[in-house]
Amino acid sequence: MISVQGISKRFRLYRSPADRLKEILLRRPFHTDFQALDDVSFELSPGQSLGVIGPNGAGKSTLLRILAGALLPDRGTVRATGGGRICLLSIGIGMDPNESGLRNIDLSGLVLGMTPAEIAAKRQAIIDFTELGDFIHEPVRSYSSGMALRLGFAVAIHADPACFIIDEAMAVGDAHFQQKCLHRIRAFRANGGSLILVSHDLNSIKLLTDRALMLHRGKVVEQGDPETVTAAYNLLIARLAEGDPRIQLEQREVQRHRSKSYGDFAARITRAAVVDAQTGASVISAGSQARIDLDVAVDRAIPGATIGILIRDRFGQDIFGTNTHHLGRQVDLEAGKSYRASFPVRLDLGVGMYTLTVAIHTADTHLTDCHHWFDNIAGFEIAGTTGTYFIGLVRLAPDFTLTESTGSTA
Amino acid sequence: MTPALLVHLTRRDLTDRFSGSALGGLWAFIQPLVMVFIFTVIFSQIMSARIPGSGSPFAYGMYLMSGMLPWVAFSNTCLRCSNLFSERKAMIQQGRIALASLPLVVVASECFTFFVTTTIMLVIMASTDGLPGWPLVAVIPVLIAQQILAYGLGLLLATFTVFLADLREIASIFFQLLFWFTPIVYFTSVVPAAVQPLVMANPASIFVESYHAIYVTHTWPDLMPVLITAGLGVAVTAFALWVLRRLERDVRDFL
Repeated sequence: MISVQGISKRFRLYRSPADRLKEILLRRPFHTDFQALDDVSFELSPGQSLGVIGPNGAGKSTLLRILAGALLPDRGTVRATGGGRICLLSIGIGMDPNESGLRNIDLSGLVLGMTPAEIAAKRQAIIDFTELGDFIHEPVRSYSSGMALRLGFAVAIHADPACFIIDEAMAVGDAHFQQKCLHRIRAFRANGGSLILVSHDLNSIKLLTDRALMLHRGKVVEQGDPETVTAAYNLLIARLAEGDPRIQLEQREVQRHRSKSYGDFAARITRAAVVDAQTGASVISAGSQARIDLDVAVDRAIPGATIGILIRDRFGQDIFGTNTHHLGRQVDLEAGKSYRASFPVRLDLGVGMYTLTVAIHTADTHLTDCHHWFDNIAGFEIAGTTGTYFIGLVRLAPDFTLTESTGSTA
Repeated sequence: MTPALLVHLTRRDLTDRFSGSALGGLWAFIQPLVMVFIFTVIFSQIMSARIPGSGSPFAYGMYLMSGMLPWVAFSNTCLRCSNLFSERKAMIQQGRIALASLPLVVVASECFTFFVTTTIMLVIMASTDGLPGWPLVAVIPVLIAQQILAYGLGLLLATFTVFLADLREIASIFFQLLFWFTPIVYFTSVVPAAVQPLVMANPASIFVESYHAIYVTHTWPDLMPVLITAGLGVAVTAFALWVLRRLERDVRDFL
């Protein structure tokens, strides 16, 4: 079991390392503080897995490096009861770039606490797992990041750690190797190994962990089942994005492209968004209940108006579109008023980035009487899956039967 | 650090510094031997330096070698430690490596080089003026005492260099100066009286004179200088460990 109690870590930022010596000699501060971690506590039982998420700079990597023993906390303790190794797998850490892959196996193995006999016994299995072939004799600096990751993962998992920490690393591997790693991680957990996974990929957090915690500015702001925590993360990201000057600039950019937004403007769509019905964030799990909201400002009265929505994928391909006419809803817009139009919908879409296009017109298409057509007014992301797992663009709801065939079929 | 890791790192330290070169690890031994050869030729032949009271043409060469080899072990240990922590950054970030154990690799590797070069020297001695006999055993405690001191100084250098990279260059100049304040190339007897206390206060002089006793006069070295070296080594090491404990968090943060 791993018990982390009240860990705090403050980095003192110096303009140059020599300032630290000046500080000791002159007894006067020469630094600015950065609180990377603030009173972080959690426990992890054998076989359990924990996901750690948070925006950039939240303190995730600092936490992992403290767990691995590479950094020392200012306060708090990390206790691994029952002994056992804690292995950290992170891109660009632990390998000697000038050494061959084979020598790095020996070195990493010893550093991780394996005995020479243990390494000798497992060397072939490690080499086989990496699938590096003859590249194993080449220096690691000539490896691609994916190859270096394969080597690091292979050594670490064969060291039989009590706890395996993975920092963003899995994203580098190709699909085949990811599958292989996932398989191996499941076996590792089945044997009672604990896992700590740091990732921005909410899918793998949901897939691989029993519990998650979210860090923000060094503090644990949410802890619980992965579903709840990833939803909270999406909300946090959405809030951060609102204050992000870059995002606003993109919106102004859209305004400038009048060609994307046209019509007689009898009614105008001032804002639109696709949001999770619960969190209000624009990152949504597949199969979640969501809402497509449009704010409409009416100039001239339009009795019998039609409000339409269209979802496109990142290639600009139409994925789904409909309007109030086809839905059989009557929409009467009065002059001088503002409305909020809402389409509650369950988004059974595949994982990826999408855009929303909206329109106000009359009758069934915008070709007759177009009041306002706004291309790509908003974007949203489908990340992670709720409910039955699926691949592809849409979730169909197939049934399944199995009957024994009679007669000759082959 | 487990003994297996120490052995592994030491072996690689010996072979890898010269990886890619045809002669490989031989270079570790060629360098000090060439240095001894040059000094022998220049001083004993051209400047006709002679050991007072000895007629042997080889005596000066032996004197030089017997001081030079332990000096090389000592100064190399200290200087090579100066860049140690940033060199081993990858390993330090991977797991629970005690920082204080890293200089042991340099100490072990330099001791090994010392034993090989000493063996070569003994072969030369055996074929010229003869071996020192039993006092040869005293080389072990003298070497241990000297390397404890080197470890302490090396650890201090390694720690402070993280904060001030200039220390590496400063140390390298300092050890060049120290070399000439140590009776390796010259004899204590030729040192002007004014400089004499400076030379004798140098800790390197103390242990180098022990080697001279063993190899040149074939006598047991005095116990006191060995104890002084060891005592100084233990004190410096204790101080270095204390400094490291105070600064370890910063060292790891800066890497």
